Amino acid sequence: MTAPAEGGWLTARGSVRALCLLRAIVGVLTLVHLAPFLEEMAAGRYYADSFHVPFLELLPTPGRGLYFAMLSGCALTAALMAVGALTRVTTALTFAFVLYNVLLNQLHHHHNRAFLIAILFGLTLLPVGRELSVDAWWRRRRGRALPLEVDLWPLLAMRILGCAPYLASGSSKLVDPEWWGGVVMADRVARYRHRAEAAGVPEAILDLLAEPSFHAVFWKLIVCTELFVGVGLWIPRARYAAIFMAVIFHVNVELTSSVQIFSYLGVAATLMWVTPSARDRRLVLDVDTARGRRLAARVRRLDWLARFEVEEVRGAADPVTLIDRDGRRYVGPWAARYAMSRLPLLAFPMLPTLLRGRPRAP
Amino acid sequence: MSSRSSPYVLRALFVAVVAIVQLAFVAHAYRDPHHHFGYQPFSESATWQARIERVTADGRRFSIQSGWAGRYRWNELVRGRGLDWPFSMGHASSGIDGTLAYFQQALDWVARNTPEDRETLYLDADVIYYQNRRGPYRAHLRSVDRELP
Repeated sequence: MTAPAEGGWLTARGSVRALCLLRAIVGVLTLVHLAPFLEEMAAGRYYADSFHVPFLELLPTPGRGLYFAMLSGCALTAALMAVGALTRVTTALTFAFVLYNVLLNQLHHHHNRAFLIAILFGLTLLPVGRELSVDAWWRRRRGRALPLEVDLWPLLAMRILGCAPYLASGSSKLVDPEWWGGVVMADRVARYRHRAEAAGVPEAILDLLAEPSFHAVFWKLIVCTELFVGVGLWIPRARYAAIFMAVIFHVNVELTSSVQIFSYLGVAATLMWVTPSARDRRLVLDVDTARGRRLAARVRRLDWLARFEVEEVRGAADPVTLIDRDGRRYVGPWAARYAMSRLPLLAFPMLPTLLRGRPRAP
Repeated sequence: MSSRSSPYVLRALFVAVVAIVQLAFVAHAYRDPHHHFGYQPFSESATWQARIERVTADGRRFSIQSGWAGRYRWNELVRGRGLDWPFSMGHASSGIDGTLAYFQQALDWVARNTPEDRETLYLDADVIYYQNRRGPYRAHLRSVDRELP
């Protein structure tokens, strides 16, 4: 990533590979988001036949046929967006209809849909078809591959929108004495205990959840987690911890609540915080060793974000040598764990293993 | 301002507008019962229940729970957000203020969009609700008056 001193983020250029992966995931999640609307359409139900409240009275209400056509069209554009076909157009059209569909009826608004709209908006601002897309494959075949380094300034807007749910939600709960004191969630837990029992949650856990002292402490931790994630994402030294906590947060929300696509979107959206540079770390792997071969195979398969330039050697002093962005060299098991912690699928379990801190290079 | 710096000014302006718009939504959510685009999920624990009657011009009252005018059913006219079956105590998924706001709008919409009903003057609802371990509270809502033939 190149960031000239003058202008900072406004002039920086770099890789949007991580956002290209986010685009693919969000395309699929948009299809999941559209599913209930498509089911209604399949059942012949048109939203304006029942109670609805437009956000804007001036917004024209589409007729049944037109609405169904647009809904079907959006499903198509979301699928094309997922595979990266005509990416900028399909991403923009997907964003436009998802937003329009929510604006047509306030009952269509849910917080996870608002977040989806924000992410889709961010994706329309950037050329997220440059990699991991049909468009990129087709351009390469024709010998017209586009540069992988692009202007990054829209990423700043996207990150502002990306941290908003954590900061807004956390701060609203922080200033609400009943939420901060655990009253809200204690009441929810008490009212829906029967569902947890039916779902097979152990009695010991249910008894713990019934304790007022538990709620007095636990939900404060949740609020602090949200605020830490929202702030920590902006601080380079805290970013990995913030992403780690965000994943834990979203998994817990998904296990305990019905939030449509929010949890999946929240985890996927952490991709927008990946450093926008590609292959700026070198991995030198001795493929004469089992460790070197294993790591080489893993990185080849799982380095979806192109974090590493891999060099395979034979007879090296160490099976694994990692040269980081700042030029520092690391060897041995820690270097291997560090490398694996930068692969999306392995990041979550591997990050805690780095807590001991970086060893000194030999 | 040099021509070289003007695109950067525009970029900064764009990012600032995005931030301000998002902040505005977040701030507005504290006054908006629906918290639209303000990210205040699970803001409270509330349950509610309503009895809805239709009132004729001569003062007769009829429950609409089983339908009326031969073809209208509340849960077909009002769908989603827990509004479709208010007749038994249920979760107020929009928070109680948001739910009651939607419920009022739903009463008005149903009153305006049931042309085959030729005798109901208005819809009348009595609501009981609980909010964050407090309650029961009561609210009374009434739809707009309908024009009768």
